[in-house]
Amino acid sequence: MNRLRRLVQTLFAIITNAYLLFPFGSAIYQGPLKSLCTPGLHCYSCPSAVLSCPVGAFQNMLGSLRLSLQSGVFHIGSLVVGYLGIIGVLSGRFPCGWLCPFGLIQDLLHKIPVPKLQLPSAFNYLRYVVLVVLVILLPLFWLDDLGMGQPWFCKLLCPSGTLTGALPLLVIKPALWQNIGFFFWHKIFWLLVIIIGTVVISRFFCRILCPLGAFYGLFNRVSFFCLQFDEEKCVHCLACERRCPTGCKPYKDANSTACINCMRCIEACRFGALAFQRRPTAAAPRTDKARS
Amino acid sequence: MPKRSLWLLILFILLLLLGLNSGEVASILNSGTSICLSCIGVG
Repeated sequence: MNRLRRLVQTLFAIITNAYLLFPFGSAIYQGPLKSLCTPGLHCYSCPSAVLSCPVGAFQNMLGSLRLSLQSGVFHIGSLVVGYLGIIGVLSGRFPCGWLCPFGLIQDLLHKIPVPKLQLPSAFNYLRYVVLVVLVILLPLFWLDDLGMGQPWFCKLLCPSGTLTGALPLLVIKPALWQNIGFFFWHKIFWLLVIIIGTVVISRFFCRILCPLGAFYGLFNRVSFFCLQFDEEKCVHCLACERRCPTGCKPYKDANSTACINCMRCIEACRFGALAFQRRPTAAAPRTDKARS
Repeated sequence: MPKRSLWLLILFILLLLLGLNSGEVASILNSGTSICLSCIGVG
């Protein structure tokens, strides 16, 4: 299962980075595929990216909301929310575990053989603060003189933007070095923190800071397909907990908002107590006729 | 099929259609095809 997941992650990373002509033409791909969003976190300023970033696109729409409403255009970001919501309702955080290119980078970084640490549970809800403050409130309400908001998550924090967008672009277009300032070095600092954090704590960024994972996580308890736990088959060996990259305890809460549906726990369970299946409907009350 | 999930799915499909109808695809294309100075950290 884990090999299949790694294959899917790799293939999806290749597909979303299929524009290999960037050294010869414009610095980034500018074709029609950029009107589609990737389900994972991947910077649209990455020179090889062929799809847009949903978090960046959503922030840009919120930032220009007032100007667009003034000009009679109704762009509130509903396309991105609808698109991500459909994915979330169908599969919860499945894209985090299987499709996100930055998730793959984190999985590979965590393979570096150094002593590993556990994440204190107090950090588990910080990603919701990032989602609400940096992705929604600041772009919507902190406006410049022109009435435009900025994509503050991209500007202050996004490690995917720094690693796959900013650094390659600065190599391809050295003239951009003249324009970088405080925010670039701020993001480099956070990129280093996240890289070091990921090496010692599995899926550090996904668990603490990722706003996209926070959004998808809201659907883990209602998604059509979800992790299901069969208590009768469980022998409490805790193999699932040991294998989980996000520190979940599937035997206590199979649909935790932290679960990225990577299915490593299913692979670890030798007793078949866990499965990724269609969510059952609530059992209908049995009637006397049914009993007889 | 859980009813709550079904209603949520319908809601998000409606949001998607609303976005498509209001031309948000062009907005995504517009932001996606220009180099994001915020992503680079200019400023």
